[in-house]
Amino acid sequence: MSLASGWRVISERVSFVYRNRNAFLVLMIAAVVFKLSAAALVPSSFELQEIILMAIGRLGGGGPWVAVEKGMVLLWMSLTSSTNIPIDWLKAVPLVRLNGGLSLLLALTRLPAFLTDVAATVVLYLVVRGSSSAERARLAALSWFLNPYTIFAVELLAVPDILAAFFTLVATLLVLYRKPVLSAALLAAGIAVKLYPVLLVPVFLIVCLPKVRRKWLLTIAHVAFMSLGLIGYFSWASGALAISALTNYSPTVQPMTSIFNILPGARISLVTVVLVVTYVATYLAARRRQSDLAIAVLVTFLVYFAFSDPYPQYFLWPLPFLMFDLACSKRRGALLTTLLGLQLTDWFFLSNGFLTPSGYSMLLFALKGQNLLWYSLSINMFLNRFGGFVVLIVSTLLYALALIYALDLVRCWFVSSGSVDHPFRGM
Amino acid sequence: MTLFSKRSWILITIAFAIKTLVTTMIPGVSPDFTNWIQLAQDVSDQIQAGMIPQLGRFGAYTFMGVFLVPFFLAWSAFPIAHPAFAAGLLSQPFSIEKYSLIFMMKLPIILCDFFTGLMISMISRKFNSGVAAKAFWIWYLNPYTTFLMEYYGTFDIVPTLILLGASYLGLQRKWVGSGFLLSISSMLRFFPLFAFPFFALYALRQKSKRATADFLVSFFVPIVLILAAQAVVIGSVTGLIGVMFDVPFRQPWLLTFIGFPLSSFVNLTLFLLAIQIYLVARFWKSKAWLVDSALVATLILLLSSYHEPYHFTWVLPLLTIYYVLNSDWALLYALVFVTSFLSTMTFWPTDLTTAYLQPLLGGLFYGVKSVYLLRVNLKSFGWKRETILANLTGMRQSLRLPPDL
Repeated sequence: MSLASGWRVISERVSFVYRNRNAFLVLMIAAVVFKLSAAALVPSSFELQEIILMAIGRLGGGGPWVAVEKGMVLLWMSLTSSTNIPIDWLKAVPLVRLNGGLSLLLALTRLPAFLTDVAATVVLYLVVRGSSSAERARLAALSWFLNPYTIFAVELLAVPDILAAFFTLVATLLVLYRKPVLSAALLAAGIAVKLYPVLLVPVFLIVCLPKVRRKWLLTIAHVAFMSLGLIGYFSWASGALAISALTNYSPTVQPMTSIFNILPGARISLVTVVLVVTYVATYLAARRRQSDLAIAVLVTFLVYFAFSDPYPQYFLWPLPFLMFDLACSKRRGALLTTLLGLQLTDWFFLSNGFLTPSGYSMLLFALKGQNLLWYSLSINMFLNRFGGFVVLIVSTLLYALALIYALDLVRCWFVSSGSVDHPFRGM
Repeated sequence: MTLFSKRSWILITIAFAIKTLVTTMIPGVSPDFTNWIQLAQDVSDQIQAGMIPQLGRFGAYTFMGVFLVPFFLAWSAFPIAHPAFAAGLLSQPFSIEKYSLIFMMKLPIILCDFFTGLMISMISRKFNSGVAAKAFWIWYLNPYTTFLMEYYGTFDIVPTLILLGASYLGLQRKWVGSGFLLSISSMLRFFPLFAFPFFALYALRQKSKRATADFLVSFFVPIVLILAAQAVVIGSVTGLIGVMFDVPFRQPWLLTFIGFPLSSFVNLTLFLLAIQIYLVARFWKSKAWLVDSALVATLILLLSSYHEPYHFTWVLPLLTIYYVLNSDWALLYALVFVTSFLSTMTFWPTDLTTAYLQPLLGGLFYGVKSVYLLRVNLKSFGWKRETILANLTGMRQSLRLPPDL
């Protein structure tokens, strides 16, 4: 049996899980159980630790996501009749010293991200079904929900990027349902949570304007809602942490240095330059009615990603739209798989092997502490000696591939009818 | 055929009068205006003392200083008090000395602004006879150009006008005049030098050895004569070479125009320029070949390096001509001015907010410039819109577009 025919057999077997509705549901339920178990067993990440410390007032900062987490901490306290979080909860290691109370705390603090993830999966399903078919929608939902990257970035890290991603997805869905003004409001909600959907306001306008009658109304709606979103975001972000919130990394806010790639001493932001060029390309495609919104959003995110030297978890922004692309056109499947593989590798090395404050990796092996086993010592040695070199190579390849992916999408706008790759039934 | 109708001429005269009056009322706000007046005074002092203004003393500003001398001397002839430090008048309250100085020193700007409008009309009319008046008004009533020139009090419009004159004469196949004007404008400010390869290419394309020879001789002879005069003053050719090489180090802003570094040994300006020369020579089919290539030459210079806001004056008349002849991208044309203005506002950050906004607004401005550079190139390749990216990706054959696109 040749390699190609073997691959065909395997992909046909695998395709059963999204072709068959019942198999799909069973797999999704299994994934839910797995994700909830991981949420309870895997030690807290540095990001989650920071958010919880904000929620209990031991660290400055706030915002809507921290308020939700505060509610979860209070819920845990009432369930366990505790008056405070035990100081050593962060050091709790998996399976050994992690008792029921602390597991519950971990599960509860990760619950908002998990629930948003489920909601995002449903919306992604609806977006793909609205653009294509139920079968492809199931493929997109599975690719998203079972994706190892999603598990790390959403369930284990539990950062608010997933909420902003959810709002972005809903905004896209509302455009598909011909509710562009409401879509602008949802996009603004995303901006208020984590700022980055502001990059998409021009894209939404460019793609939607040629397809609506009252263009001025949509323009005003976008500008007004975007202003509200920006006011909302800056009021809680800069109010809590002043200017440092706009420049330093924190899991809850969007550092301006990252979103516009403003380097110390730089007078021109390269990422802004390429975003302007991207918007113009989107405009040209939209004028020819060749672009659809989800792909335009994806192109913007990928271009941004390629030029902005982002934190690894920011790959969550384009990910739902990458799944959309995968479901609608499997042509870039190999590229996407490579991209995801590189992203996870990059993240592994950048985070010292997914290290958590407990000294354990999120992959559940020990990385720091006494009496480390041989494999932990080997991994540590490899990370220390070659980590920088590997990151250099992997990051370069990753950003180059992200750009290639974006260019391939843009090329499709211009060299073929948009309906070939992405059947677009929306507005 | 006259350039404008009688009614247009009347309106233009009124606009000129109003602009002149308003310009005179505004003192130059940039420190550069003070510097230019000081330069004019220093150079005129040297000339009056019977000396040739030296490259070693005035550097890249030598020839601009010489250009400004007649205006300064005209002011000196006014029957008013003339302080030893004329530029100091700008910081004083209202006086006839101050406003007469502002008027005389801004006169080159006022005149060049006006004649640039006329030149833009004349060049545009060569390609489309119906757009002369429109071209003039788009230039002359543009608030941003007024802001950069009359309000700031900068003189970059002088060499820009001369570059336009060189382009016009090139289009008329008057190669001696074209080469001579390009030479003069390159001596006033270095940037027209970047248009030289494109002018030379255009002359070569005429398939006439005489045209090429006329252009090259008329370009190089004035430069050689001026340098010979400088060598005589300095005393030796080696001395002159030493002085010339010393100029970029004494006026280091010149070095910024070599562009952003791509690696330890490669900088962006010449890299892009070399690619652009190849693209123009190999692929361009633009009807306004000469003017468009001058546009991309200046655009590359201002895209590949940091530059002062008023340097954008170099590209604005050519951009106006491009817009008038290809007016389907009004939004992009407007965006150039909006983003340039916003970028100007944060060019010299005064607080933390503007410091943070500067890279963003600068990025927007450079993004729009990049789009323009791409746009001019793609349009000049002569491809239809639908096939632009197909050609870029080598997939022309695979193109299957529905007939209504």
